[in-house]
Amino acid sequence: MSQKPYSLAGKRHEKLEARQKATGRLKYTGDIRLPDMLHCRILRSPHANAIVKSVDTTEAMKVPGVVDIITYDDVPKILSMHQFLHVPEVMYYDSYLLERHVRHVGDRVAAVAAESIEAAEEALRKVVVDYEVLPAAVTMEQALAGEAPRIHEEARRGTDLVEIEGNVFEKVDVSIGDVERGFAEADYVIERSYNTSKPNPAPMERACVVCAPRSDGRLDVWATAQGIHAMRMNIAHSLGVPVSHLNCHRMFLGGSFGAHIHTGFIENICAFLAFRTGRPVRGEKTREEMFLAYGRHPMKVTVKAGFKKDGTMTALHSDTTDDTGSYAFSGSSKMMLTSGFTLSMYKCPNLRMTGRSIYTNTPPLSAMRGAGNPQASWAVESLMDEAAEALGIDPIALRLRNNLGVGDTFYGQGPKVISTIRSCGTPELLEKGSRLIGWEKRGNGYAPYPDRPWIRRGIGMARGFHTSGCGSEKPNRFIMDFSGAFIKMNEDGTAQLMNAAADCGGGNISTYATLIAETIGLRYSDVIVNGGDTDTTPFDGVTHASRGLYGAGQPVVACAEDIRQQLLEWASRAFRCGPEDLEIHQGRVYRHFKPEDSMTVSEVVLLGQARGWGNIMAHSTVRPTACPPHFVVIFLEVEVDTRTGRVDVTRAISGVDTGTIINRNNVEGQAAGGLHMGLGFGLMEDTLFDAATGRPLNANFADYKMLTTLDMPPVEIVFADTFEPTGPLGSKAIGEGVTNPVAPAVANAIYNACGVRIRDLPCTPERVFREIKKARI
Amino acid sequence: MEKTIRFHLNEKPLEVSCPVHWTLLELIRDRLGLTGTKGGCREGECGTCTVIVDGRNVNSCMMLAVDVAGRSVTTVEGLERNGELHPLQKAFIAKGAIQCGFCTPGMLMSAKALLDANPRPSRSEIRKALSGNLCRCTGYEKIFEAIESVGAGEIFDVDDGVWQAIEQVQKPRD
Ligand code: FES
Ligand code: FES
Repeated sequence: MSQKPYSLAGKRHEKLEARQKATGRLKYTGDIRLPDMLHCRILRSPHANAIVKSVDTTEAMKVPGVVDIITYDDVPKILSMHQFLHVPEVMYYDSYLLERHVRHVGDRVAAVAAESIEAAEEALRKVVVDYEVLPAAVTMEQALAGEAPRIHEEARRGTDLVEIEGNVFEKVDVSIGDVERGFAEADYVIERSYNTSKPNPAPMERACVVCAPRSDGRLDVWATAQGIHAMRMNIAHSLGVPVSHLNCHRMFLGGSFGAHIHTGFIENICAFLAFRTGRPVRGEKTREEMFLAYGRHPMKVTVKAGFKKDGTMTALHSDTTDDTGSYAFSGSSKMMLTSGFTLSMYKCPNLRMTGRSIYTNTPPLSAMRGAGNPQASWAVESLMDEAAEALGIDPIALRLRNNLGVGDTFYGQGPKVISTIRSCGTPELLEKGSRLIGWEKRGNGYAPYPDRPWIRRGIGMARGFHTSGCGSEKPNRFIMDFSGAFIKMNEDGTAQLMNAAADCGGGNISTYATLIAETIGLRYSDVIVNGGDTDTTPFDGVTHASRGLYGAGQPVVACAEDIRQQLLEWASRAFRCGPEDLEIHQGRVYRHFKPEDSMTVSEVVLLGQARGWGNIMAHSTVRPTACPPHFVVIFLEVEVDTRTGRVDVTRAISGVDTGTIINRNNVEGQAAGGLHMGLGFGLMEDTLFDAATGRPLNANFADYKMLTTLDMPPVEIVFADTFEPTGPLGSKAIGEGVTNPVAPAVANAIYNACGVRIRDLPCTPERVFREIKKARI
Repeated sequence: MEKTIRFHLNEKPLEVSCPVHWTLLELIRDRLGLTGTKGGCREGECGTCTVIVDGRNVNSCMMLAVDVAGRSVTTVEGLERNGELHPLQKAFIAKGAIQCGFCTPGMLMSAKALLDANPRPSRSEIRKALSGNLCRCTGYEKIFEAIESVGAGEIFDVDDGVWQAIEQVQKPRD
């Protein structure tokens, strides 16, 4: 493609912080210890729906080491928002720091600050709470039933009161074109319902926060957050203080995957306790609390699609019921995203989305890798295979026939984010992937082992995408999708970046160093990226939506270009030539036609200093005007044990269209990691709650299964040769696309192996076995 | 109740007292301040707290601190020798086996225990040895590659102050 030969991009670089991570020296939030620090623990409700009638803290306060205990009576009566990425005017405000009406098992009743965790926990045991236990609506069906208990009395969207009908807090019905006509024109109409589960992002690091009062009366906050500026906004709002009273520090995260895209209450509670006690306060969630705090929204997605005989799609209608749990952290956005992504998967002129978001008495959910797209992909990519079979068309051919490619517009993140596709590697990846897996030779119910005829092997595929950020041609009033950066040059020739984008493990902070070095002409090791905090960095629109490189990288490149021009201008004064006669390479400035005339970048900076020319520095703020989809194609080979329903994935191919590769190690790592998480979604991951009591059934790593080293198949990765004109050095994203289509590829492979269609996630042995048994009768 | 114990930590003799109910993880992190060892679950299920006790990898959150009396404990902080990284650390860095890095200390300790006992493990031996260490980021692939590369004696040298893995040309299988 039109890719420039880059000197750094495309190689495998050591990440900037890799040595600190390999030696254990890097301080994660949980590793911070401050003198005089208090520990916070939260008293959590054992009931799924209850009114806290009274809380008696008398005995608890007597526990040695207990410094403060707060309840609903003590917290500011400010309805709070939690999500990081939305503009405040559209966010949901439906919770306080602590509640009088507790709405799920694990909801917040009181908080203790004590000299030690032991003392705090001892105090929790001594707090006496009188609950009025109410009937609970744990499942979607219970919440939608006529006589369902009302989960929320009040909620606001921005400044508007939300009309909550039963437990439905938002609905959508949007049409484009004429679906009725589209269905009438179709030769074949298919309608199926697909259900998704409730996996937990389960980063290995547990959420943690340390808040420390400063001598200037403000508060320092270190926390596991995907966006420090948005976190600052939310904490400040819930406490009723100006944002500048907080200084939030960027920390390397021990994974996140959406878990830290909102405040999960401990941040605000610890900040409140730190202001009250005047001492540093630390809070860290237990693993059980992690399971009672996050997760991907379970959805029921019904898709109706009309096709011509030749496979051309004529109409598509998706209907989505979305369960947000007990608080609407992300409002109805997940439902809108799933609906939008469902309609954006393929080219189709007549579209309609209907849907509703509901509250249930289960832990509040937010994003998890893919933000609505895994649910959409599960439905659409399963349906495409079902339709292909009915139409007698090869599944790949059906996808290609309706492919959304270069020049087409699509809904990036819901129907308000419209963007044009400028690069698309799907056809190339379908071709490469199918060749690699042997698509043409795949059988139907193939039994590869003569001595074990009950083992059936199958091959399945799915294609999908995710956006690179949330940019759209026109600014939208819904998502804050912009970033900023400052860069300055030091006297020793190093460039120093100050920005705020979080690195959740994907390596985006290191890619900024590559972008800077490549753009200015420095060595990779000449770039320093500051830790950064809200005091010294500009606002950044959160590391989510796979925007860490694509979105936050754009102002970095803009700054680096500016710095390069300034360096060339100064050097041209030294060489008495035009800047166009100079180039910078590996930290040295050369004259084009006299390469023996050169000076180091450091010498240029020092010369400017000595002459009083000032600083070489740059700043930039960029709102991306596109959210290019990074396309992914997954091919899987599975073996199904038809006696037990057990599914083993024996081969996995991840085909990725990520534009220019910045650090090859990073993108391969994302592809394999995304596959791991997608296989977990497809095969085993789900948090379960007792339908009567709302109690968690598997809130620990012993009972919540994810793929271990023994389960993970070998991963083959292929790349498309694409260049994204809007992206930093031609790059686009990778992080979420590599997960989104994995689960339907599992189901499609299972179907090819043994002829049963699984429409409810995850494809557990019980479910597969049940379907096999049904099919035999 | 506190008890004083003596043991070797990263090859140095040490005498320390701690509450008898404390786990080894609490002793290492909270009293000795070695925060390289992580506590992803504190329930014995994730492996981020893995350390080596007398040559075997153990979950330090599942072992009482007082039980290491008289024994030898190695944590991630003990892998470097005279300022030089252990070959496993170099390989993890060069191969991109470290994403968020939260599982890394535990992975390194399980890998070291494996290589100390079996210097050239097969892929399936590696899978088995690491089966108690969860990673949420990498899909394990690059961790396997890094350990295999150490087993194979591949050396990663610092080039321009930055580790770069030797490029392996991947031929597509036809
Ligand atoms: S912290 Fe020890 S196994 Fe998870
Ligand atoms: S690198 Fe993040 S958990 Fe392994």
